[in-house]
Amino acid sequence: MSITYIICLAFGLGVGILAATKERVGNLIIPLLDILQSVPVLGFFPLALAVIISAFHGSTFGLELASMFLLFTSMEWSIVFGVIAGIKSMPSYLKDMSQVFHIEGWDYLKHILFPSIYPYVIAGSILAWGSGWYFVIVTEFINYGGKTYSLPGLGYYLQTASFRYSSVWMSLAGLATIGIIVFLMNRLIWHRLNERAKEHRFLLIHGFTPRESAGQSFWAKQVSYIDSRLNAVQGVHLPSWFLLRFRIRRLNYLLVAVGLLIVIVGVFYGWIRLPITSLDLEHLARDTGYSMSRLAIAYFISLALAIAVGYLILQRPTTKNAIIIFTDIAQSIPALAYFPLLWLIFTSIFPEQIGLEIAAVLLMLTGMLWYLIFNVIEAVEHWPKEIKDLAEVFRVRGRRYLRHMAIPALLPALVTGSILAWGGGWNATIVSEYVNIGNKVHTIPGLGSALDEASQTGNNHQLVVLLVVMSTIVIVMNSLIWRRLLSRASTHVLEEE
Amino acid sequence: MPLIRIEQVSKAFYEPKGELLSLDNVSFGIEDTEFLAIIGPSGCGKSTILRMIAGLEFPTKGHIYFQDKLIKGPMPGVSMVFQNFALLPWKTARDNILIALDAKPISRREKEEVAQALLKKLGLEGFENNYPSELSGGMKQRVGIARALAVAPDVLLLDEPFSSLDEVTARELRKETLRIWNDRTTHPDTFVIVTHLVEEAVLMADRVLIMAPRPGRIIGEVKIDIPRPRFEYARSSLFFGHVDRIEEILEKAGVEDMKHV
Ligand SMILES: Nc1ncnc2c1ncn2[C@@H]1O[C@H](COP(=O)(O)OP(=O)(O)OP(=O)(O)O)[C@@H](O)[C@H]1O
Ligand SMILES: [Mg+2]
Repeated sequence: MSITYIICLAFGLGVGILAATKERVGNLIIPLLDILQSVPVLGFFPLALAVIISAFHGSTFGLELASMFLLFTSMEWSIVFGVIAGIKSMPSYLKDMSQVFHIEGWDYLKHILFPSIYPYVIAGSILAWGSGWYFVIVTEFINYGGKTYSLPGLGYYLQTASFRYSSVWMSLAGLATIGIIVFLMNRLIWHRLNERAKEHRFLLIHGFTPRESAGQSFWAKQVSYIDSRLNAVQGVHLPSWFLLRFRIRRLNYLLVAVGLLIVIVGVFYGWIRLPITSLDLEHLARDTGYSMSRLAIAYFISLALAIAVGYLILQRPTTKNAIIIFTDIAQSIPALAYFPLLWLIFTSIFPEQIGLEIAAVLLMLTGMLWYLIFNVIEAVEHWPKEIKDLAEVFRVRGRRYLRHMAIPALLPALVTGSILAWGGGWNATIVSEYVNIGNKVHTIPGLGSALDEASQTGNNHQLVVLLVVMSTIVIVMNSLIWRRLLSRASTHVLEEE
Repeated sequence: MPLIRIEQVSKAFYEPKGELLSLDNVSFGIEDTEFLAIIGPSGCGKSTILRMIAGLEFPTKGHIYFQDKLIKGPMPGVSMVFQNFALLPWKTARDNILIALDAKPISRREKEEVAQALLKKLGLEGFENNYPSELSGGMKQRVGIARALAVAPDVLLLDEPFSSLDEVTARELRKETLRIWNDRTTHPDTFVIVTHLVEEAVLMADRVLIMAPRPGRIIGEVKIDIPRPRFEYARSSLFFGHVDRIEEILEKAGVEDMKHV
């Protein structure tokens, strides 16, 4: 994972700097990255696997490579976008200054550019490791074409514990280990780097306002630590990041999408010569419907929870610390890690299909919830004091408060959270609709399980089609729903003077 | 009996470095129909006092009474104008005013009428349906003032209401504010303004309270005996005599030149 991270960092810096400094390149690279990023990572994994495994004839090296590739695709985006956002938000006087003093080339990178984007890169890295942990669990235990490939690691341990031995205790132990590793890493590495990032504050990045710690008690320290982590991630100020992406014209998106499609078709049907089997369109539509409804349920529950959390913190600021600590800890345990456990619990309480449905929706929920909650918490943190006073002075309360103040003010956060949440959600469908336990397969119908089945049977044609369908849904939703909501939401940003 | 009584009020905030006494044993009264200015350098607790009168904050020690009742929270009789306007960007000028009437037990029609009358009064006709982003700074604060007046309060609190405006616009709004205060036929008649600018205080107020920081306290009080309207006197020695008296008090307390704070 560390190796992958270093590759990601190098790639991210290279591509990011290129995209951000050369306008014409950026106009193509940003939509390209965006589309690639919206493809559910877990979806194109089996395909990549197929290609890589066949290239290396199933050797362990090929497997490691495949696993690193998946990790790369899950970690890369937040770093590249961090770099781009960082460069784009560099104040123009810095550029002027370096031109006046002829600071160019490597000196420019070293003394001006890197230090300025440092906080963004750290923020992107924190996000990257977060999603890396999520996927490491899947990559170490792969079923493809009726064969199981495994790599020694925690992910492997967890999967065998619950799926092969159905042992709650073993999964709990694995979970605890992951939780502790993630927690320690956040603590020892990110917290420190982040403290350093604060020194680069001269840029006045929104969200990097110094916050005085609330005291010296144990809990106070926890809060100030989590606060700074939150700040790091949110210092990038997600809404502006998304605005940046959506500022690119739709035409470019369309062009890039068509270009990609041609490449995919070219590679798989022209070069690899996949056999074209007939498509069961009815089946496809049905699966899409099932997955969409599950995701929609999970999404609306997440949305309601996130709004409730926002409202609660706004109304009772004292609950903030407790909520932040809880979400941080809960979020640092990758959802995929406890899915096996969820599955064990729910299928033992309910009849199998219902248990599976509940576990699936819950997993999707955890894949979506945090994005929304963290964005909401951030928005509440930056809630201007005057607006708070305003509500009190004029006694705007209860439902009216929610309708006239809280929800509109949270809209930017909710939209950006939603974009991320749906991305996370689609990934979750792939692992939640299909479980393979002790050589027995349990599925519920949906796009995710269709993908799994295709990869199980090695039906690459089906894989490509499903992947294109899934990506299209994500892209269409982005451009039809989120783009619009976001441009509306951008007028809702409360300014903190 | 003063309309508002601040009796031996202290306010402490708890900071990691220890307790911070932002107000130390402050007492004063605000008379009915008075225009009071509170002046002092940054951090001396001006906003804190105002927020306590608004019922947004509570004294650590001492008591504050409004119409002989202990202040326990925001009251309908006290309204506020904010330094950075505090307009909701997703609401039009009219809707931003209407939000103040939210808690009033009157019909939608009546609320609309109140809002319309205030839009007219503050010269916002034609801008009713504009969003804050489409309004100039001066216009925004006009909406802020209209909203504060909508509840027909007894007391209007203004926390550096013109400090985020340019001087020309600020001057216009000072005039407007004085006109509203002068109009005894409608509420509110009692104004409390917080400011950094000695001239602003002398121009507007009947009485100026002067504060110093660390800990926040009152170091003096100057009655302004200049006939109104005062704009005619703005370049007179009478005017500058008052300005000098206030600046002397500040200097004696070791407060550096406030214009550079
Ligand atoms: N909620 C709070 N928590 C902690 N300290 C506070 C809080 N509100 C005010 N203070 C502190 O109390 C002191 C007085 O603050 P206040 O805002 O009343 O000053 P002010 O006179 O209005 O200053 P300015 O001219 O800058 O607005 C300051 O030192 C400030 O840091
Ligand atoms: Mg103040």
